[in-house]
Amino acid sequence: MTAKVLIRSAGFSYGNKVVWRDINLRVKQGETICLLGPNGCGKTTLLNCIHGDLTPQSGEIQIDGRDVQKMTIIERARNMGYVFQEHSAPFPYSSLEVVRMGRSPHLGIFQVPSEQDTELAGDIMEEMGIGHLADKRYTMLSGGERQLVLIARTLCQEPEMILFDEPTSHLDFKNQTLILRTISRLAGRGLTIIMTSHFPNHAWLLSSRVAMMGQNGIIAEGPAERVMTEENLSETYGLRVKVFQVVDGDTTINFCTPEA
Amino acid sequence: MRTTANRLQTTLPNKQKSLDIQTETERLSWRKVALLAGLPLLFLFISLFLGRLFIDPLTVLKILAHKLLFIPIDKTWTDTMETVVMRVRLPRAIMAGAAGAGLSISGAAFQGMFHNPLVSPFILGVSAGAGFGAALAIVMDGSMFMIQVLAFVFGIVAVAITYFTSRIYKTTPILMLVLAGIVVSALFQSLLSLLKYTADTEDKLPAIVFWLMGSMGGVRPEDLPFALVLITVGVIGLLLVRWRFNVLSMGDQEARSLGINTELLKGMVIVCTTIISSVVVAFCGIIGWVGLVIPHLCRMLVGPDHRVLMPTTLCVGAAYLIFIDNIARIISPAEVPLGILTALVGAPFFMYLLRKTKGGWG
Repeated sequence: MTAKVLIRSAGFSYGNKVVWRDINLRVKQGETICLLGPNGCGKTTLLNCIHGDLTPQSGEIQIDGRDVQKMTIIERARNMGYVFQEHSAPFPYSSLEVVRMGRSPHLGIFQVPSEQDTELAGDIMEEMGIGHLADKRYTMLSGGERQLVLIARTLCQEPEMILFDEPTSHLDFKNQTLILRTISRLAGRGLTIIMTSHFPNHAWLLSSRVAMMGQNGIIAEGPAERVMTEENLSETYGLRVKVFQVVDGDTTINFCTPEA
Repeated sequence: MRTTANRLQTTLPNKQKSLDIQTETERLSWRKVALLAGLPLLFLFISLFLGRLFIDPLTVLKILAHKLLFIPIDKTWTDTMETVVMRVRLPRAIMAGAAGAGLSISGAAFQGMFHNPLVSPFILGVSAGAGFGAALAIVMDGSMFMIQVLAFVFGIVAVAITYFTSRIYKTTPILMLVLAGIVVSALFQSLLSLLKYTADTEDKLPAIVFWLMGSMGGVRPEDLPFALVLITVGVIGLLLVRWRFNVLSMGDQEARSLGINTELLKGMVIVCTTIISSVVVAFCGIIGWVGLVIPHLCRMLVGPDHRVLMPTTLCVGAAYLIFIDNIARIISPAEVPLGILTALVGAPFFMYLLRKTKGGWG
């Protein structure tokens, strides 16, 4: 079976500055993978390369066995949704309109969304429990609500895979959990998910595969339980990290924290 | 992926409610557009009987019916009246309406594309280029035709320079476009200053200065077909992609992730707006503030959704410029240049808008 995403000895640099080199990664259909690493290690760059917005100088990236660079913008948008970290909303569109924008890869250049498109957008919002936001101005929403609206928009694209860039940054504790649960529900539906995160604990919460990035590329990769060791975490972040395990009834909770 | 959609179809109770609210808002907006569409026609008609020579509305109607619909009516009016209505006021009002509509929709398009409230259709240098072209023609003793041609051509040349300067790695980032536009504008403005400095102060310099201030006074009936066809082409182009402005306004990278070929779309928008504004500038001179203020006003009326906003700017912009042009020719025997009035009215109004929306988007 061809992999959903296949990265073969990819290297990227901005001018003379090497961001990472020789990255190899294989993501299967339906898998959730979390990219962890310190600031500036190139997580977002890698995400943008997978999305096809940036081109690695060496190696290649394939989506469903096809070179992502050879896919058209529309093909990519039908295949992948992308929830960005940096995001500005200039106009006070209704939230429903923002979600409806997800239909654009399915519409011709001169087309406007049909009633079916609007219905689909509304259905998706209901399904996600944000139907009450439909008529609210997007610019007036809280950070957590916005993030949910943006996730609804990517679902409106009907993609097979969603890329998340720091989906929980700027969110409070409750909203972080809400977003992570939403992502995990999407994963349960068979969507392939690739996300970057500043918080190592998120990888455990999503029980995902982890790719840990250091200064030059991926230093460890595999299931969270196996990869998220004190040694690996300490090496990635350049800081002594301790991993704890707590048993709460039937569930085992893992978490890490800097050594005191 | 079908399965996602299918699973999402199994949905829950109060979905209908939120959707109904939305469609209701949209329906209301469209009703407003329908109402606003009557406005330019009303103003157009009013401008036919107002003026130094007052012609009563009934006579105007008779003249129109006689000349445009070829209805045989007893001629109760003088030849002068007929000439004033058919050869002076009508073409002039039509041109003012077309210019107002064109500049306003171009402004709305650029504000959406640049996601910036301070953007006007002239941001890429079209007015500076056209101003230089017109001045060049005037200095060279060119005819009216020559002035129009050079203004049109240099307007397009200026935008082309801006566009190709800002192109890096096969993309045209918004910031690069704005900066290149400022540089190109400055370049053509200094060339224009050079022309003014060297121009004969008896007749050439005043001609340049008056041309730059904008006027509908020079519009002849023969100019209309060419101007109207080009403006209509540009306007239709912008209307066709009106929904895409919503997506484009979220930023280039995001729009691309939603399947929009941003370079193609931006290129097309720039071509359409440049055709419109260089035609307008070539025939009417530089009329500022319309393309900046009207989109804001329309956003207050019908909201930010470009599907509704773009047609609205056409109606309001046309009505506004016909109205201002009427003032320009009525308040004093020596006509007041249009650019002065649009700025005099536009600037305070923009101030009011800024205060009211607190720098937001209405």
